[in-house]
Amino acid sequence: MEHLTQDTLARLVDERPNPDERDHIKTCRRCAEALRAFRLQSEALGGLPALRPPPGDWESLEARLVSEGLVRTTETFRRFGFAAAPAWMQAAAAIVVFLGGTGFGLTLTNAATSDETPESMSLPVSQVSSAEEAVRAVELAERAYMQSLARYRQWTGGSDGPRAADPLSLLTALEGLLAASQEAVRLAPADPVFNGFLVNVLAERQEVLRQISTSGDDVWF
Amino acid sequence: MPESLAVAPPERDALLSQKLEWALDRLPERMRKVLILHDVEGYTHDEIGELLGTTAGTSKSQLFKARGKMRVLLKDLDSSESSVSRNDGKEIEAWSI
Repeated sequence: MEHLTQDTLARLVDERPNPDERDHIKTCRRCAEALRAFRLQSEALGGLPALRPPPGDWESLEARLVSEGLVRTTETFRRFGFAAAPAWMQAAAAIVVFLGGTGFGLTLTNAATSDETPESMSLPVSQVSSAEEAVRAVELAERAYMQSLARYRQWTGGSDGPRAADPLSLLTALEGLLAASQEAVRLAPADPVFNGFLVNVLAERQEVLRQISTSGDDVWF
Repeated sequence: MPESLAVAPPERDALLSQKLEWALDRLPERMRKVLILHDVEGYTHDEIGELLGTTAGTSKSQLFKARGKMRVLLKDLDSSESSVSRNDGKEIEAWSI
């Protein structure tokens, strides 16, 4: 019997060999070693974080998230896979930075796309003393998030090209945003910005999942 | 077997990950997506078929080709490292080839 092909060896990583293949592997050291190498390769891949590292300056982004108070340590950040996120997730994470800079104070000084002045959208949490003010704070948080989401859509769907139309990439980006917002809520459970952020990320994620489930005939790549 | 995959004590984890990332970046987009979804993220072929709008059979085919191409890339990388190590006794920079 000739040596097993690369495709066959790759298949046998997670499928049972037929009798001929099994007999060959028992007697052919070369194919047995090749199969072992394939299995080690797949095991090693399984040990990678689910998201992949970017070529950009991720450390500075991490440091900024810590300085903004969104996460306490870079270890927390890494635990959610952000330290190993692909380059296109930097835009998504930048939204977290944006909200991180506004979240604890609700001062939307970075809301450049807003029709309102930053001052009119500013409502520090410490000044919330009534239900009406709390509602207003949540509304502001909601608006801040939607602005950030609009930027996110612009960044991921703008001039970056093919990724814009790729729901899988968008879904993965949203998974990153979801992890960040869940962590933010864990760290600041009473913060309306982060809670609004989490709810909207979940809604957006659900919408992308719906699009994926209803576009079975589309090929994205 | 690629030498880089044979042993992976903690101090070598980062290097191993770098090598895997290096090879993943050199796979065609279609193969890379299937390989990541299956071997890294643990999706089944049926799930990958649904996610990518293809069939489970196509997913399997792409996965096997991706694994084969990854193995070739990693073997080539190891060969380059061994060659450089023999020539000047220094550790190769994985991204330099």
